Amino acid sequence: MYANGRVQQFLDRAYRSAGAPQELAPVELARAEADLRHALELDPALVEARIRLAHVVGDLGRPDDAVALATEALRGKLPPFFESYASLILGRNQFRAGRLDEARIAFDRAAALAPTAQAPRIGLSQVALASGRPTEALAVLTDFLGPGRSVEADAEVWERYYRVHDPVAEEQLAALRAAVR
Amino acid sequence: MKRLLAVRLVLAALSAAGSDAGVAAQQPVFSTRVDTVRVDVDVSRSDRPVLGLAAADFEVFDNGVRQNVDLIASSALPVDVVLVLDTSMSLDAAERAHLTAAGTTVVDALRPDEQAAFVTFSQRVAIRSLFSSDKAALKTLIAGPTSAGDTALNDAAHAAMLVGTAAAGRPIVILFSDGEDTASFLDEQAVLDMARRTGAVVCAVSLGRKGGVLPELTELTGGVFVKETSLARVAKRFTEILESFRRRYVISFTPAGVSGEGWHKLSVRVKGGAQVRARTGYWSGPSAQE
Repeated sequence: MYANGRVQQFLDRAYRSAGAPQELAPVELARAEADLRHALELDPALVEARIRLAHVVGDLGRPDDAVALATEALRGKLPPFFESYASLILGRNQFRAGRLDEARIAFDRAAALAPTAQAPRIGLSQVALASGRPTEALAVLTDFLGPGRSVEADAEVWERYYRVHDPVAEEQLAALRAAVR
Repeated sequence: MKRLLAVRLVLAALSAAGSDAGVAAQQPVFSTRVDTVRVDVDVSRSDRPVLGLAAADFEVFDNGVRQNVDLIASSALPVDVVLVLDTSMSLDAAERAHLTAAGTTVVDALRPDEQAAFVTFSQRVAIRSLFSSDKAALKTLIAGPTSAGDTALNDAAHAAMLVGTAAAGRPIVILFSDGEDTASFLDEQAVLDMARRTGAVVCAVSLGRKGGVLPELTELTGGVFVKETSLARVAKRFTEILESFRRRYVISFTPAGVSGEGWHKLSVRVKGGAQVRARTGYWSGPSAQE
């Protein structure tokens, strides 16, 4: 589940040149679900597989299953990238399930972990609008994306989640070597 | 259940007073809770606009129930444009210049009582200006962005519709994109759900591919979807969209004989037959309040 920096750069370039669409066909999602479930059977501790499985089953129209998986993944201590990503998946699927307060809490957590990320603010504005507060929904966005705000493209967790694995293998190996020494 | 829909109470004087507040400073105008639904309606026959209709010429059905319709003089409701431009990396410098010219054309076409807001998107959405009538400042902003990054079309559409909720007049989102979404947090269904809740009219010009959510989004909101093959013609398309929107009838009704929160399906017809373009429904309930 981990890739070194060079592999990630290659995946990133391939993804960009292909202009990969965000929304995958159900057949591709079903295949992803099967593979991710298999990975979890082999090693239930693979938290990345659990988070990505939550993403997939949510997109397959099963938000309650996605909430359960993301909640389980968030029980342990996670690297910031995964905690933020899992929180986004949790918020997205709580929203889909109609639980707006729970969605807001999850998006707030993601926003706290990634202060310059756009996706949690989009989620929070979505929750505010669905709660009957359009002025707040707009304010959430203008406070973050509004006039004069800086744009930090590299800070986006959501935009990187297809092609980034965290931590990278090189960091893992370095940590292992350090532990052995 | 009481039906509530936030309808902007617009007076030309208020609009003018609020229009000089600067590019970044405008606050959303007040709205009030009334039981009135307002709909922008385009009527044509053989692709030509039908002018001179009266309220009695319209038939409006709310969840299948016929409603009594009033006609609002569209001159009393200036148009407020949310201009949305794709600045993803797929545009080269020459194409970007065409897009800048197209955006500038829209700003130049604004009448004294009209305003524009400006949003760009790559993988990031940037609300570069809320509603303003400061044409020079708007044009400077439109000329500013360079092309880079992926395409967060869905997130940008969501942001633009929210910006539209702050309009003093009749909001219209005019959006250009040259591709499909590759980076948004929101999926297409989420964008359509937000569109139902904001009541925005979204018009889009798309270069090349299918346009992602745009065909369905424009139909849902009563806008138009234009598939273009040349960026050199985008300015003309923008102008056509704006002029056509100004010509629209503005009808209103107080829902009667229908109840319940949620999505109300609207059907608008013209006696004698005509092509009618209008939003396909409205949201009644919490999202319409404030």
